[in-house]
Amino acid sequence: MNTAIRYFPAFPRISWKPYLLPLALISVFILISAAPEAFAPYRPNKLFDPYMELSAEHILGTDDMGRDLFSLLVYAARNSMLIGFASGALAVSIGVAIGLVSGWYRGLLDDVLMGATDVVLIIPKIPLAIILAAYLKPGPWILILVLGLLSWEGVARVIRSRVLQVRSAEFILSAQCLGFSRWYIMTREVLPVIFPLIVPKFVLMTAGAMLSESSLSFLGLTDTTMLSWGTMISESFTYSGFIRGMWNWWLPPALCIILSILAVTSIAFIHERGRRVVIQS
Amino acid sequence: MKTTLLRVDDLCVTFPGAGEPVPAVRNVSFALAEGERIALVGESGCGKSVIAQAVMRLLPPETAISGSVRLNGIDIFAQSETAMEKIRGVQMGMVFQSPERALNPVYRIGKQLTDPLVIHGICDRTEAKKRVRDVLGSLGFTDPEWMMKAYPWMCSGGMCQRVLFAAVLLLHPQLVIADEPTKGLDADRLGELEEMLCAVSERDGAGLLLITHDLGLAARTADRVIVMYSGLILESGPSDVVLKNPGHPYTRGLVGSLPENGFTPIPGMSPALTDLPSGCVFHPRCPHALERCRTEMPDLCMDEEHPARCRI
Repeated sequence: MNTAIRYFPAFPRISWKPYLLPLALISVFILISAAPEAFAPYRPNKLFDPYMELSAEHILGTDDMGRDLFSLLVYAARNSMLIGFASGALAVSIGVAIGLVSGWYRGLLDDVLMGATDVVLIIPKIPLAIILAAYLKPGPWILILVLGLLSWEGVARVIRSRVLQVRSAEFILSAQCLGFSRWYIMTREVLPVIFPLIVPKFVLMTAGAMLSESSLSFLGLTDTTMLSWGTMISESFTYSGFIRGMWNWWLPPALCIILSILAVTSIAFIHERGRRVVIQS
Repeated sequence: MKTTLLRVDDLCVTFPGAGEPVPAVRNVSFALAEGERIALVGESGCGKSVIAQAVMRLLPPETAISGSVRLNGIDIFAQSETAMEKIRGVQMGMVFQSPERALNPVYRIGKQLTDPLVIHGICDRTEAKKRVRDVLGSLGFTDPEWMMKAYPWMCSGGMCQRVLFAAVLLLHPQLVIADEPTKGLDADRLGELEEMLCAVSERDGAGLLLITHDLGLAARTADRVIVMYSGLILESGPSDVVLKNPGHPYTRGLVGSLPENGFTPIPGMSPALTDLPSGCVFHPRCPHALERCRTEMPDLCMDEEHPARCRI
């Protein structure tokens, strides 16, 4: 590749600098959710005196049951991140698969799949998630399934339209003439070309899922024993954290939600902007 | 007489248009023997490329196709898509117009050339790389190693063209279809292209179906020429006879419009496929048209040596 760069100085090289801050933030959050024991001073269910002020032992004080709020915050990261990334990955996988098949085969299959997509598109997500959460036993995996299965339609539509565009390209025709199978062409010829579209979609889906999780948890519609930043805010609201002016209860999880979502979305935005610059130059 | 490689019988292709169906190809029949080179010539929109896509069976599913295409006796239209995937590439290969766009921009050229060999189970990756290197060397690349590591957008049109030929040559198909290979190519690359086209049939004994509107290229490379107009074959025969002594006024017009023959354009425009004239399709533009040309369409007898769809 060195020769190539020497012969072609205009070889587009990706600058990693703008990604550093959001990536560092996300890495910290992922690290914390992977090993909360290493960061939290206490176990999340260890009880102290309730409503304690900030102190050296309890840097964020304690809640109504006397749990250390900083430890809760650290342990809550896991579920928030897991739900975000897992349902983002689920939504993108379904969306890419459906968009790819729909755009490639066209015809009747396309009509059926796009009809299904339109149906999913008109389903109001949060209300349905509320109903499902009320009927099913709430837990992180149910939430991942509900959020993932309800938010793939945007991805499917975008991927389908791009596949329709790419499939009529000459190199796809050429690949067909070389006798490549449909599966091979879809996965190895079309997918890499549309990949730059998938990355920001995945990231935005993840951020959306994190936000939905917080909203649902705040409304008390998820498993109340499931630790997440949304449930922390919800509990602070229910158990007089707001009335007592305990900003140390609700503000840190709110900041964590904002920071993680900002970090994740800014990756998508930087990625998109980077591509535009490459295309323009 | 050599064995027949490709036989196209009474091929009709109709596209569903916005209002009425568009007959793109009508009653086309011809045969291509092993090692033979046939050129399909005609203006844009006369159905040349549609024939190529019908032979490759790449037309969209909503297209109405009748007639038959037989390659080595196999009925192409009766094959399943999975069976076609095994026939395409190995038994028939295609070289496309605009070579820069016929290679996937995200893969290195080496990968794009080795993959077909591996996918069709012809050899393993190490052997495939060796063969690719040899073929690239034989096509005149001084540094095949560099070429294999390059991406298509690093290469010029001529380089991409040679890479496409390499892809087709590596699989040794018996039938090679070249769809307007001269499009977007510099004039000084033409000689090289002609050499490659001839090499395909001479070295491997493959049949070549050359689709072009370049009469000079057709005369220099092809054994036989088929002249098409509005989806119909108007004339066919040995290339030197057809182009020196045309049997149809349209061919005469085409030859006359060449710069070396006076640059005289054929008056008028080719008709829309949805609004074809009655009788002979060419009569509105024909300088010799008679009254009966307006009503009857002459038949074409493909068994003759040099048939033409004209009564005059």
